[in-house]
Amino acid sequence: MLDFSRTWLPYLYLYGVGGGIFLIGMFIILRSRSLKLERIRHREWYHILIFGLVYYMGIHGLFTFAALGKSLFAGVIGLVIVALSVHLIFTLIKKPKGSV
Amino acid sequence: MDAAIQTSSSFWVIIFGYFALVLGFGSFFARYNKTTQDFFFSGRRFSWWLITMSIVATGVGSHSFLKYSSKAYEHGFSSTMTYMNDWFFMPMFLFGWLPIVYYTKIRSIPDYFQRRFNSGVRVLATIAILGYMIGYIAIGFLTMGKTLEPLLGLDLYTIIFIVAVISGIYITFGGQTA
Repeated sequence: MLDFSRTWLPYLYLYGVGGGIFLIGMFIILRSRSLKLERIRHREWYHILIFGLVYYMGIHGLFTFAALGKSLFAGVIGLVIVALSVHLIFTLIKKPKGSV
Repeated sequence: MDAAIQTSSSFWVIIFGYFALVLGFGSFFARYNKTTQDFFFSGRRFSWWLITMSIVATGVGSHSFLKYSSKAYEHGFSSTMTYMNDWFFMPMFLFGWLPIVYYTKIRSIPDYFQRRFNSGVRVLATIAILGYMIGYIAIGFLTMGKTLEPLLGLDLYTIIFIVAVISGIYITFGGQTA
C-alpha cells in the first residue's frame, strides 16, 4: 500500500532536513569565500550544485508520482529535468573566453 | 543451511573467469608498487575519471545489493533516501574538504588531524576510523557470504574465510593500483 508515510513523508523529511543541510553548506562556503562567485569556474560549480539538488528532488518526485499512477505529473517533471540538464550542459560547453 | 542452488556450467565459467581476471589484473600491476606512495596512491599517475570509478567501486559492495534490495522490499520507495542524501554534503565536500585534501597533499584522514592538531588527535582519529572499518568490512564479508552460501553450498564462515584470504592477498600485493 503506497500511503503517505511511504511516499511523500520520506520525501518531505529527506529534502526538508537534507535540503537544510545543503543550504547551510552553501551558506558556509559562500560566507567563508571558499566559493567565489566572481570566478567563472566557481560559478559553474555553483550552478552544478543547485542543479544536482533539483535533479535529485525531481527524479525522486518523478518516480514517486509514477508509482502512485500519476503519469502526467511524472511526465512533466521528467521533461523539466531533461530541459534543465540540456540547459546546464550547453551552459557548461559555452565557456566564455578567458574563463578562470 | 539450505541446499545449494542448481547452476549451469556457464555460470561457473563467468564467476571463476571474473575472479581470475580481477586477480590477474591485480597481480600484474603489483609489480609497480615500489614505495608507500605507489601503494596508497598508485604514484598519483591516474586520471581523474579512473580515480572516480575506483571511489564508486569502493563504496559499492556486496552489502549494497543485499541491504538496499532488502530495504526496498521492506519499506518501498522510501528506501531510496539511503543514496539520495549524498548530494546534501556536496557543497561542504567540494569547497571545504576537497581543497584541503588536494592542496595539502595529506595521505590520510589521521594525517590531516595530526597536521591540524597533534599526534594524539591522530591516534584518536585512527581508532575511530578503525572502529568504523571493522563494522564496514564485517558487513561486507557477511553479505558476500550470504550471497555465495546458496550458490556454493558451503558453510557461511568458510566462505567468509576464503573471501577474506583472497581479498587480503589481492589488497596486500596490489595496493591502490590494483
